[in-house]
Amino acid sequence: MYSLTDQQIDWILDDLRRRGIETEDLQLNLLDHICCIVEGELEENGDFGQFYSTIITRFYKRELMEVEEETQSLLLFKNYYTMKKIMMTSGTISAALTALGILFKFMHFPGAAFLLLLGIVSFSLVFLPLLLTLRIRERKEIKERIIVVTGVIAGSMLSLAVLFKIQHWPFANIMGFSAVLMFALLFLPLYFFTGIRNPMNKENVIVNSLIIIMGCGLFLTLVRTNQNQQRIQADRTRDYLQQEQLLAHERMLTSIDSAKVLAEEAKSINQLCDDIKKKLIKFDTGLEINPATAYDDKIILTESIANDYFSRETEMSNKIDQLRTSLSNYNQKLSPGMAPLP
Amino acid sequence: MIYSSELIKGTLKTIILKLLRDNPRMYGYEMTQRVKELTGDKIQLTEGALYPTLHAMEAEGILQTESEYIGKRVRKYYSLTPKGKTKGEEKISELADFLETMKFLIGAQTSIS
Repeated sequence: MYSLTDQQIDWILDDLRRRGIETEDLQLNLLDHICCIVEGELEENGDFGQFYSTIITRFYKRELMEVEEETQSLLLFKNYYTMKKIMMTSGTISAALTALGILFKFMHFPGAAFLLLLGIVSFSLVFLPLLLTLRIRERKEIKERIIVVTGVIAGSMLSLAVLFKIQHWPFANIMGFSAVLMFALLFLPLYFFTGIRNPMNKENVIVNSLIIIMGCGLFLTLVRTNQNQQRIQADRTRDYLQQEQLLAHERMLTSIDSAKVLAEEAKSINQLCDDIKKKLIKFDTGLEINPATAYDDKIILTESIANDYFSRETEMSNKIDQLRTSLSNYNQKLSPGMAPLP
Repeated sequence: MIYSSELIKGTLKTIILKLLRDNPRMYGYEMTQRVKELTGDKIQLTEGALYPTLHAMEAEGILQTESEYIGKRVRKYYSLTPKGKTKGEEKISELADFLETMKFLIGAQTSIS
């Protein structure tokens, strides 16, 4: 019976590592196994080196690394079904939440934004990444893997862009455009030209590509161009300023009227409205402009969300509350037959 | 006649479970030797298939291990967990049933031909 020295044991362990066995437990198992074979089958004065190089080939077909790969693959396979189950569940939940969110939005029910947020987040950050992990494992060719990666990243970015857009968070447009560009310039050409070479998939690939092109096209038709945006903003600003002029004119007329009704209350409501408008213009344009004279200042109002501003500034929300109180006081004091303020 | 590795691959898990049902604990080399003995060298477990399967079964919670130092090297002994014992019974009776069906199928086809 051959007796292995400590140096030979270390050498075998090093050789296993050199040949690509990385899992420590597997190294220990293989080391013990090889030692058992050597001690059981090699004669006392046999040639260790030659014997080792013969028996190591029993462990593999092409190279020893296969054993490591097989172990990793089996360990991953264990999680495969769990991952697939989570992927299917998260996909179903995302679709249900998004559909429910859209229904709530159309019906003006509370909680629509929350449902959409949950639906899109679970779709983009749970369903799609799991889909990527599983598909990458199934695809062996590099080109096919690139198609999966670009498709999933672009899809994830696109759905997050929609979420950012409806939540009025920054970078929504840039994210959406990057996703569409990734679809159009990377994913689609790779998917199309790789897919049509396979006669089995040819029809599906053409149909899917057409659907993707139409989808991207429809998405882009909903996006306003910069020029259009400016025109719409200029139109809206003009409308606003005309309203302001009309208002100023009406105020002038009522000041001439001697039979002023609830003059003090009306004055305070007007004052509050002017304050709020002035602050909103400053929030949007950064300029200190009196709403009544804004026409001469050639300002352009953009599409800032007033609610964002109201919720951020306590002073503004106080003013809104004051305005509500003043309006209800005013309406209560009105004589019968007079139209209340909305 | 030595059976092909494709045939053995599908039954490897069951073979391991059966070995460990009959022996409280075993290490990898011991398993290969025992199978050789029991089958008169007809079934030779390849190390390249045995160890990945042992690791996967350990990760699944079917097997548990204890390590012992043999001089400078470590030997890992495998034994069944309670879950493994139940699984073992299931797998062994499933394979026995399968073999009966196969016997019938092969027998039936042989008689037709």
